[in-house]
Amino acid sequence: MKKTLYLLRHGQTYFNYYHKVQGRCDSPLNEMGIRQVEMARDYFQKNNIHFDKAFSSTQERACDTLEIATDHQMPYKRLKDLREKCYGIFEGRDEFLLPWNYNNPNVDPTMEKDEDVVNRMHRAVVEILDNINDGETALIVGHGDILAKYVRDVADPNFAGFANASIVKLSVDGKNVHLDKYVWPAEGLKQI
Amino acid sequence: MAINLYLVRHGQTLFNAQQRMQGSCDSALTKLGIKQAEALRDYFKKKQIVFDKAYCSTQERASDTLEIIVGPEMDYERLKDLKEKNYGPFEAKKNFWWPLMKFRSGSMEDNREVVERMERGINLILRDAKDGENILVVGHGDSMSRYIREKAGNHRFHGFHNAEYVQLKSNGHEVEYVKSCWPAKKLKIEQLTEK
Repeated sequence: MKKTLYLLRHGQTYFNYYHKVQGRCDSPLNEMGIRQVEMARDYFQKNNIHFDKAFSSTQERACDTLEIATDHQMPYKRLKDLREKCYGIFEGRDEFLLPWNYNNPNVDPTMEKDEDVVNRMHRAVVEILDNINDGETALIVGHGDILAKYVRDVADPNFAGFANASIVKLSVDGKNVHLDKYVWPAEGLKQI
Repeated sequence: MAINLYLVRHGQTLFNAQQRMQGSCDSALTKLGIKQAEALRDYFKKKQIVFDKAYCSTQERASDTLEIIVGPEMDYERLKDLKEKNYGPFEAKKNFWWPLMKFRSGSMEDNREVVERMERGINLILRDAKDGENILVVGHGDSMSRYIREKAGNHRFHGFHNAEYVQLKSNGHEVEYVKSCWPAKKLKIEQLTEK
């Protein structure tokens, strides 16, 4: 019997909009971000997708996203393991400074290692799966980099990534994780 | 009715250490920030101050500080009204931009609004409080200081250091300033010798 996981990335935030590096640091959802998550909420409602349990990272942009997406109806558990990768000294600074954005392959020692990020996500998923029964569905609200790395690790190495307030549906059968679909309800929304 | 409120400012964060304005944005507690929260936790234990309830703002630096103080087993409630003032265009900018704040407000939160919502948050806490309870409230320097100056009768309140606390007493409706204390004060110097 299988379990279903819906991974949801938070909506657009102030730092996203101003292209500031946002990993371990946090900024609030802006108007566009709120609207994007409302569209994700509408998608869940229209498609009769109900969650037995809901989880989010401890970071406020994820909590806020979860609360909007579940229409403030569900209690949820905040997990530290679901937090975004830590970008060390680049936190809160302009995105163009990130080494990979100007073809610099060096990894700054203050940044969290990619394998540690993926391991954290695995730990969180194990805890979440332990918390739901066969046939149940869980909502997991998190962050672009960590969620994408996880999807690439377990299901699809070519997975492109998560747009703000986009959704990935995973089916878990024992050790097998399958990517069922990627949906972006807010795709048509123009920048507010 | 007598209720004891302990208003605590979160421990030092990355943006605090980098001297950047941190309002509605958030960053993680530094090693020093964690030690400051632990010093406060140890102080409360030593003074045998046990909390019946715990609240914090929805921002992670506040909930992290709270979890260090009361431990992972105690339930707590997160309130949006207790957030720091929103500095609008100045969020995460270096402190030296501060003087310009007088000339541009933009999306920066109005001071009156800050005090109003702080009062809303504290009133919510008081409404649910029982006589004689000790209540922990972990929040932020600017918003809590403004609240104390306006509503707790201490117009000259000097402000909060990281992990400093203010004790207020309340009859369920009004609040009154009792004292402030900073158990983590001596930790500031230790940081210089720590890697």
